[in-house]
Amino acid sequence: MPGLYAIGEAACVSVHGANRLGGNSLLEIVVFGRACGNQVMKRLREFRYHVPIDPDCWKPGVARVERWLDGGRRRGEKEGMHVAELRARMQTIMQEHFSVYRTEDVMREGVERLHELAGMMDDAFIEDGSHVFNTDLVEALELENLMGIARVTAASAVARTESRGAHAREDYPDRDDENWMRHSLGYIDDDSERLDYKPVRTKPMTVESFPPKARVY
Amino acid sequence: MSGHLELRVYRYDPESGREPLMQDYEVPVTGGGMMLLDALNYVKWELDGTLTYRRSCREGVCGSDGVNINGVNGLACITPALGLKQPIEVRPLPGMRVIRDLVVDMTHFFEQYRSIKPWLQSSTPTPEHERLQTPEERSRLDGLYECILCACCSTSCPSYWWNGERFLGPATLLQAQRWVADSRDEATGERLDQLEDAFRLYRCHQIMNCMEACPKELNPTAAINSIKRSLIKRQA
Repeated sequence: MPGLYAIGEAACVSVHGANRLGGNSLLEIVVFGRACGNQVMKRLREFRYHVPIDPDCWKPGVARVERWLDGGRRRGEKEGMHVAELRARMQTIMQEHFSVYRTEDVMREGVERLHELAGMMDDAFIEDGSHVFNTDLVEALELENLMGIARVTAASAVARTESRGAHAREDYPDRDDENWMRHSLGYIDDDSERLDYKPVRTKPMTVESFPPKARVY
Repeated sequence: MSGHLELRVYRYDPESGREPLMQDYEVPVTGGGMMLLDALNYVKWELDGTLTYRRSCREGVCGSDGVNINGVNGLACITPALGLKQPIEVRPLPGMRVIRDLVVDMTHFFEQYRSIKPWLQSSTPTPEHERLQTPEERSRLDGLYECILCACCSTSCPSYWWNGERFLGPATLLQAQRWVADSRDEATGERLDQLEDAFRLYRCHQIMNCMEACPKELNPTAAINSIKRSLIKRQA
């Protein structure tokens, strides 16, 4: 999408590898934040005005919020879970099925359980109907985002038949650069997870490329 | 661990048109290390989703959950719940405009912080690498840089309650001293000029509530005294 910029892990600039260490975010902020800002300035010089947008483009965003506000109710009134309970269940599944050491069977079961849980989002509710600092609503919107992320995390973890960085599989203990030195891209289309991949950039623009090697401690 | 905690929480919903009130909740004890934030989270997640408060890191780093706990300001996330006298009274930070429940309007507080220009100012050309400090120069920032701007100190200060519009308050003044003390900063004179004011600085009367309240165990009164000393020193 022209004009949409990203920095951080979401931008897939290939600097961290799979073992994203604490403090690496500083690199993203300082180097890529600046580079991104420079690019934005360059673009703005060329495109001084917003491109025309669909006059109804705000509607899905408002509908997303109003679904929660309109469906608000107190606990026990009806079927369905409060968003906090649904989130807790999601966290439990991620903890039990996609923890530090992973195996095929356990992860497959986790994917199933997540899928089932995601189906319960339609009946989930919040209790707060206020338009002032509604943190119940914020947590519901966050849960929608988290659920999508959990699902593509789970799907890409099962698919990746190797161990790399923080992704440690007992059934595939070795790193497989031949097949898996690539970024996972996750989508949710028609309520099912879809995976795609893109290559890791191994050729920096200003310094020599250095080949990856085994990480040993 | 077993048993329950009694919580009494300040509730205010501007949309309801009703006066603020204190609401009681009973929260099960989940463990010896339980913090007050865990109790608030239990209420929100298990009992009443309308309870409203700020929180983020839950480990005393982000400074979001400053509240008044049994009359003393502190961060809910690093205040052990079991040692507190019950019912635990939780109120918004004193002297601040309440937006809702425990959430106060921090706009003016952060505007004051912005007013001291909390960034490195220098007129000399940017060096190719970092601006270096000796370990001794760096150590002068200890006790200052740790401030997380939770506002527990400023909202415990009677001078700030009376003159908060014009008095910068302990948090902002401690931050001001953090830049006055920085060996790399070249705007010390301008910074001191800005601070030399009967209200902005000199409403501090060393009551020291700020030091009592600070969850990071900093001493804003000492920082303010350092500013005052720097001002006197440059007159001589």
